[in-house]
Amino acid sequence: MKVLVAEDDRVSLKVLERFLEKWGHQPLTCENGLDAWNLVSEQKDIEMGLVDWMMPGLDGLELVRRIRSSERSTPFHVILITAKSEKKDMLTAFEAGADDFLVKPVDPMELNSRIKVGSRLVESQKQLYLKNVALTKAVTEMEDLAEQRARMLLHADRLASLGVLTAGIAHEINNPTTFISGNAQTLERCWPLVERTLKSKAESTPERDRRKIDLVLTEIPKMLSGIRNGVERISAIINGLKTYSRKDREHFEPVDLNQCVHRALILCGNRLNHLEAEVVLELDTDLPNTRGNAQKLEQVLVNLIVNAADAMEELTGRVRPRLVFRTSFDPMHTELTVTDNGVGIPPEKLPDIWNPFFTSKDVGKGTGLGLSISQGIIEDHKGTITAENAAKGGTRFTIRLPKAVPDSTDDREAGAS
Amino acid sequence: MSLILLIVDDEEMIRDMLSRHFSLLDYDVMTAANGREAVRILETQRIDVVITDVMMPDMNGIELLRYIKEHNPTLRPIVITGYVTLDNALSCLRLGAETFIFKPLQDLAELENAVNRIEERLKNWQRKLRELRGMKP
Ligand SMILES: Nc1ncnc2c1ncn2[C@@H]1O[C@H](COP(=O)(O)OP(=O)(O)OP(=O)(O)O)[C@@H](O)[C@H]1O
Ligand SMILES: [Mg+2]
Repeated sequence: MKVLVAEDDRVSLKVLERFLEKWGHQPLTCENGLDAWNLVSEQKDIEMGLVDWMMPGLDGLELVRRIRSSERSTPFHVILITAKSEKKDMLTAFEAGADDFLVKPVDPMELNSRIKVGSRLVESQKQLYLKNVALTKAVTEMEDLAEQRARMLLHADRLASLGVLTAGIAHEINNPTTFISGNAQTLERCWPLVERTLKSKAESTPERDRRKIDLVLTEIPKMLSGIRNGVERISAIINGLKTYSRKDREHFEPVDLNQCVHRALILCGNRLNHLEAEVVLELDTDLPNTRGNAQKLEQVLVNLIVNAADAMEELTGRVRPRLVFRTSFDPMHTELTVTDNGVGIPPEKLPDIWNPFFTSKDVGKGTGLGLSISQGIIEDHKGTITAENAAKGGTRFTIRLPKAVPDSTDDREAGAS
Repeated sequence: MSLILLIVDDEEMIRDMLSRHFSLLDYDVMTAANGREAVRILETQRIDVVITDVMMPDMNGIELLRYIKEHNPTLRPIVITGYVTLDNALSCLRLGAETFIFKPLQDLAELENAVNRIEERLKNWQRKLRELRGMKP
């Protein structure tokens, strides 16, 4: 133990130093209070002090006071040594912050015992301090966890109420869309008849009124296709929302993620061929099964592939599109990464891509539901999906899913949560 | 002799749209706003094809299918619906539905095809029944 010895009498100082060394301590000596103060301030691992009361400059009592009022977080046990032996002197010393009191001439045996007592105190204080630190850390961690959990719940809650809301909206919009769409289609079928009739009527109409009929003849088909186009877009959104509000009971079983990749690629093959994209498969052949619903997982993959294709298409001509699929696993999880070399996502936009209706694509091209639906599906699987920018440009999506438990091949579970 | 369709949907605009569409295709069309009205029509009148919604007040589509299966077992109703759960879809299958088609009916051709299939099936049976009559002494 590092022990400060502050004593203005050189002989006593030497004697104390010797004894301390003999008892296995590491004495640090000073001949006045100010030096002692500096030493103690610098070296926080000095844990004990033998301090003479009477010293020139800063005396022992003052030194103790200073130490006690400084913000020292490590324990420091002070034994004040003095020629004074009045009871009131002792009280003054304790008042100032000394832990122990020895009267000169110091009896080495007594000093040794007192140092031992002091060491024990320091040791238990140190333990207490460490426990305290650990406790504070644990508390902060718990607070962090609680906060994370609260966030997750909030998110889940938002998703759930959004699910209910969107199911309602989808249903409400569906019916009017049905009759707009149906009527437009019927009208389109009737149009040839109307057109023929109008044309023949136009022939017997004076020039002046004919202009209007001609206009109708050219514009109505365009109006019809305008309606048709609008309906198609609304339908796409409704379809997205329907998946989004997943009410179906889902069926989880052991799924081969590698297979999902293959099947999703078949579904999107045309799109990737068209881009002349290089598809790299780094699929782990030892990959254990994943607990999940193959169709839903393929749906997620299709979303990711279509997004990647869109992102890579934007760079056509500049780099050869390259899409890498990699699977891996650890004792509890399987993992799949999909990495493209497309335009990438601006870092400040990264958190937004999961929001329903967030899209950077042209109106009519993207509904902005793909990733939010995918996230919902992965969360139903008790997995995670994350996005990051890939090192060499482009984007990487990482999906982590729970491994299938070998003997539970058929468990049904409510998907909506 | 043209086929008689019964369109069942609680949304008037959809009933109108569909009956207009099939009238223009030369079918005879009747409409009902819910399962109960449909049953009243089925009790009094020949119907060849039923097109029905699922979610309706006062006897929904599934209940209507159940009635039809019991009382008009030769009918193969077509179900049009905005939202189908797996359970619903299986009920449709078990109760003898021809198919179900999702609203918003982006392409009416799917519905027309289903109607055509039913028409073919009926015609086929009529032929068979005529043959049977012809064979009788
Ligand atoms: N691989 C990717 N590279 C770059 N940006 C991406 C990638 N994947 C997603 N994004 C960005 O995230 C947005 C949201 O994607 P999301 O799939 O949810 O919707 P979307 O593709 O725009 O529309 P859709 O509903 O048709 O999928 C995209 O518009 C795009 O800006
Ligand atoms: Mg997308």
